[in-house]
Amino acid sequence: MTQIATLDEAASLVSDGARVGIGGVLLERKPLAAIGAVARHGYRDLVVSTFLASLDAELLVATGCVETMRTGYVGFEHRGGAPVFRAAEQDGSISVEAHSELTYTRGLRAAASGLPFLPLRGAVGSQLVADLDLREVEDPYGSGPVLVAPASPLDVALIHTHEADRHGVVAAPALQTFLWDSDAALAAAAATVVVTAERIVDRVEGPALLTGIDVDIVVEAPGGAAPLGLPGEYGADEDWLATYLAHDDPVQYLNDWISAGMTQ
Amino acid sequence: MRVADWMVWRLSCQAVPGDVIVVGVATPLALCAAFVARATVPGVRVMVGGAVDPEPHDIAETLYDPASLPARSHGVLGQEALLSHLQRGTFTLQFVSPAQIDASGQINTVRVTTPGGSRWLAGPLAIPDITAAVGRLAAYRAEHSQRVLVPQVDHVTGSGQQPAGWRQDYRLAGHGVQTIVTSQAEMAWNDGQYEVTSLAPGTSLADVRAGCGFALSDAVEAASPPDSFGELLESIDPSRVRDLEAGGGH
Repeated sequence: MTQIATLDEAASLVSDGARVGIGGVLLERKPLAAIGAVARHGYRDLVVSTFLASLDAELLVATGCVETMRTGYVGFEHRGGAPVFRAAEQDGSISVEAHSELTYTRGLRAAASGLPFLPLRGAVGSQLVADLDLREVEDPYGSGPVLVAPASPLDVALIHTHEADRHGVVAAPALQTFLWDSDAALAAAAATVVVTAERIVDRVEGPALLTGIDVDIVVEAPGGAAPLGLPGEYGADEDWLATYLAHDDPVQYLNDWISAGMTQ
Repeated sequence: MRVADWMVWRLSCQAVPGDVIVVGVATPLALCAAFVARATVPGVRVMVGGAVDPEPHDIAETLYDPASLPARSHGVLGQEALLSHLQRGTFTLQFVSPAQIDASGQINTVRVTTPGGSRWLAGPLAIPDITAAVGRLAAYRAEHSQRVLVPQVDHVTGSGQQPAGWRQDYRLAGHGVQTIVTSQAEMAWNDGQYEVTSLAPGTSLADVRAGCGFALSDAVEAASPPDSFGELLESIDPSRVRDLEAGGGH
């Protein structure tokens, strides 16, 4: 049964070493308020899954929470690279599992379905096969060899949305932008799903991305994706991003920002 | 003709009738080329970050306000639908911009080797998947140098052409990087190596070879875009956003 909770209560569901999935894509729909709460708890050795990452990865790495980052991209698109992540990857203070979109999503889908693995038509011939120790199986129906990705279950998924209700129904994104439904796969692979919402309403009207059977915790968190964007609600704060990306000590900048309550 | 315009023209020339072209939202050269192809090649459809076949329009709008794209499109595919189409071979041409491309068409978007170790670039994104599953790839970089065109990539993010025939063993729809377009030349995969098929204005074959880290054969054909190309490009990108990827050079 879905419960309404505070950010701090939701963050207490994470534990050291937990496998944490982060929703959103690039600079949109990132559950930054929830990530800030996780960082303030001081967790260590998290295995973080975030396919197209930006400030979410930066925050968790800067606060020392991450042991392994499972990702397909970390950066700020045309604005530049991710300085904290890049430095940590380079000096070996975090481990990085570089995934393709298919190796990442087939792992989530397998976990969501209780399957040990799922086949894919991607990544063949790339270095990811060795780096991720991907295996091949022979199609029992005779089409030849096929690559498979192992299930990658999550302990906790963190997702941000514009609207959810007290029964755990999460409204489908107001605007269908790039990979608008990707959080559904993330939630399905997780043992515990935490959804932060701009608004908690009595009843979500219209199409739903997630239902009450998928969601464990709902937290009201207005501005919960800021200073990144939430399509249909607000855009990314370009001034904040420019200031951050120009700062000569981004680790300190992010830690100070979190300590100050992530105020703009 | 400016560098960006020449690159857009050569990329657009990779399209054939009926192609389904995939581009990202933050790649102005690729977006321009896809829209030029859609306007000039019969039956071409364009996928922009999952948005289905938007009408060609000023790309500045899409780049700076991606949320405007759905209204110009015939729906937006979700991730699972997009990946299903990818795996069953719906997409026939994609423009990609890797940091390194090597002699066998392998591409790198993950990390490069540096004197002190290595440096993270961006990440694999869907590159390992599209090199296996999209019919043909055209790789582009404005920089024509031995830093980009290398004998062997530092990280095999996307698979190449060797050994010959390996893609058939896996029944892959993708044929890998068939064409490379830089500020100086277009190079096409042919008979086990890349050959120079077109030279940018003011560039010589010797320049192209000197800036490439692997051997190139040549079969250069002189050609120029139709008179309508400039007007079409002006309508797609009046503020020359494409120069962000190519520089503004002539």
